Amino acid sequence: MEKNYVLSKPELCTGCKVCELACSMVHDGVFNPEKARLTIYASSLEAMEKARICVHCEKPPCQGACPVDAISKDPKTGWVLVDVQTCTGCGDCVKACPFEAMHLHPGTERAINCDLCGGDPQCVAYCRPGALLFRDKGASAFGGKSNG
Amino acid sequence: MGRKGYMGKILRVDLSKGKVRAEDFPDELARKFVGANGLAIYTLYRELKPGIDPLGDQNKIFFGAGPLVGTILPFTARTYVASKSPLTGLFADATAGGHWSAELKYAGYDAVIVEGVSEKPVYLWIKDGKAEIRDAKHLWGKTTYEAQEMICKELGERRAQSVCIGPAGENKVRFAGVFAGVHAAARCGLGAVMGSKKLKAITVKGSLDVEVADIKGLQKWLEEVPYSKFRGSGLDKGYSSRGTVMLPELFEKFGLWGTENWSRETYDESGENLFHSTWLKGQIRRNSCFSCIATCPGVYRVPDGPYQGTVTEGPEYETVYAFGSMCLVPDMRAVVKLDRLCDEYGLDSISTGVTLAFAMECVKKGLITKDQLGGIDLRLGNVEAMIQMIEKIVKREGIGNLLAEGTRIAAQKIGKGAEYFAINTKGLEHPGHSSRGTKGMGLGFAVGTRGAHHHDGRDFEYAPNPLLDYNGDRERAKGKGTMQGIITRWTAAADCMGYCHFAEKLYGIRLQDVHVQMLNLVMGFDFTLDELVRVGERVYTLERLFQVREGISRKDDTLPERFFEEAIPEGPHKGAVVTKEELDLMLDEFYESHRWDKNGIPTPERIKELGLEG
Repeated sequence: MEKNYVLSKPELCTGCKVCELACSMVHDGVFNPEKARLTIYASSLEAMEKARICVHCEKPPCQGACPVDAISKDPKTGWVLVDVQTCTGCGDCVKACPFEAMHLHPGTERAINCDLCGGDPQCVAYCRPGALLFRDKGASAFGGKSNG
Repeated sequence: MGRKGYMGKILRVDLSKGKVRAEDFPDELARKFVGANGLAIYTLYRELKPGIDPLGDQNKIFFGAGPLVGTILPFTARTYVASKSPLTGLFADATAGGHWSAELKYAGYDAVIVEGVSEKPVYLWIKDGKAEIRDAKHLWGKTTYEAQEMICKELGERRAQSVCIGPAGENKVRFAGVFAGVHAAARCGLGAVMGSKKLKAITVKGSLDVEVADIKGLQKWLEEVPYSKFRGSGLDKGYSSRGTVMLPELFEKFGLWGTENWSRETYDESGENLFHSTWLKGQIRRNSCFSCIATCPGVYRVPDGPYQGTVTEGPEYETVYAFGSMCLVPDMRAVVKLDRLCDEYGLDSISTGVTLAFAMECVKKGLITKDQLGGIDLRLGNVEAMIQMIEKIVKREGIGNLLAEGTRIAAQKIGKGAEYFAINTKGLEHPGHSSRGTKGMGLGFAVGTRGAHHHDGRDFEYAPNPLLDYNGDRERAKGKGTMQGIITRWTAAADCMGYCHFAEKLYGIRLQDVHVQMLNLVMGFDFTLDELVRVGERVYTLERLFQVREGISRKDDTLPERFFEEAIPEGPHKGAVVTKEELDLMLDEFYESHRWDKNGIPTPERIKELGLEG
């Protein structure tokens, strides 16, 4: 199975949060970092932290924690996906995720994680400094091809 | 509410009564004044009585975010602050980059207006529409770095953003700034206004949507216009890797670099010590403001010497000028130390450096005596003495209490001709751009709403510019009044929308269709270019009306005597001076371009035409 996730390189991150804005723009049609499926933190003036974004674990703890089986791992792509129809918004997955990559959408109050925009993650496309990389494919809007 | 890009709410805070309430921000006001700068001058012109004390309980302070803020559009993260300035005694505003303004919108507001005075130190906490006045006793006396961290910690909100003051603002130093993260809305002493109200900070966090009128259109426009214009541009290749710290080298070569309290404009002997090439030796990383694709701010750690390990974002060009060339400190590491100190204490580094340079010249000329200095050896280039003096200013101790008043008041109090060495216009200390070598910039300082500020008029005279009908003759006066007339319409409109002035390098420095497109995609109004130009004119003229009400007219639109009396003594612009005739010519042009009368007063017809009557 191929590894397929967005890799964060905090040493290149400038903290602009365009990734979060692009995420809420394409998923929700609004600008709202709290609706984004990834989160950026600065640890200090001197360094950024690794983006909180789903790495689509081999054995996802969120899946194990979900009491209603709303979280599945796609056998073909390996992506961890939330079925929002089934999700009750209990938040158990949020607590279970060691990467702080799962959270509740402030509008729907259902769990959200990175869905890789169906295969062309827009956070990667919009990241000018190249601090987010898609492991398999996808070109940056700024001309840089992501590494494989 | 029809229009998009706004939260549609203004938070009104009365610190005397300890009350907060939300007010509507109606459509017709948004159409006429857009937001931020426009809303601020509309409000403060109506609500501040003429002649009030800027540090008294009658003054109000405005914090705002324009309609573009919080969207994905680059160059739109300005945090806008306005009040009656304790430094100029006039309407003044300042803006900062960073993340605060966007977060204010996610928290539900386009603006916060604070009035009254609290009995004890407080801060304001705004989250998702709710606002709360909280005790700040434990934060009083803390630096801007410490206070912001402590607030995030006690609220349990890592991503909350604050605007705050340091000890300088608390002690009402007249050139204390307002700090958003490490970004400063530094100029005109607005931090002292917060301090006079005992308001330590306004902290915001939210999860509300910023909506735009046409999100698909905006997404397409984003790629076709700003992103595609950006690639390979000066912002991409220059500012993004070098920031404004690349400018000392440029201005040194032009011979337009304010040095030794503007007794000259060249600083050859500093070698490369204040240039970008030297700064690079301490670069750690590059930063961005919210939603921006440029990475103007660089983070620097002092690599060696007595200030080894000191970290700062910057310094920006102006700080290198204020401490480096003005005080003859040919050492980037020392400038960084001073920059960090100003950020922590919450001081405007331009006014701080220019005030120190003024004091140094006064010491040299015997206008300030050794006794007054309390043992501090305040001479040009003495960094340790500068650090000690900054601490005295912040605490208002000894002669620091005098210098904390800024150069204008300090010079009046010193007397004996000290005014000649006080390089300010309308009370605001000059930034690092030449009045003598670039005549349009000189005019910009003379007429600027805020006094000597490089963001009313802009320094755009280094190369010919067809948008401004400018042929590249820096020392020529003719045409510069008209040129700054065009520029001030643009700076005022930009400050209403909330976008960064560096976008001038992308979209041009004259209001054009591109600005209208951007605004319409976000707001959903059918603004025309004429209408947007009219907004710029309306806002700039209303600012002028505020100043006129405080007694300002042509007689005040002038420059420090030094620029009339002394020519630039050396370098490429050797011999350049401003003559009274040149200034008069430019003032006539400028007033004419805004259709104010010969005395610089907006005419009744103009007031009516702009819808400013009543």
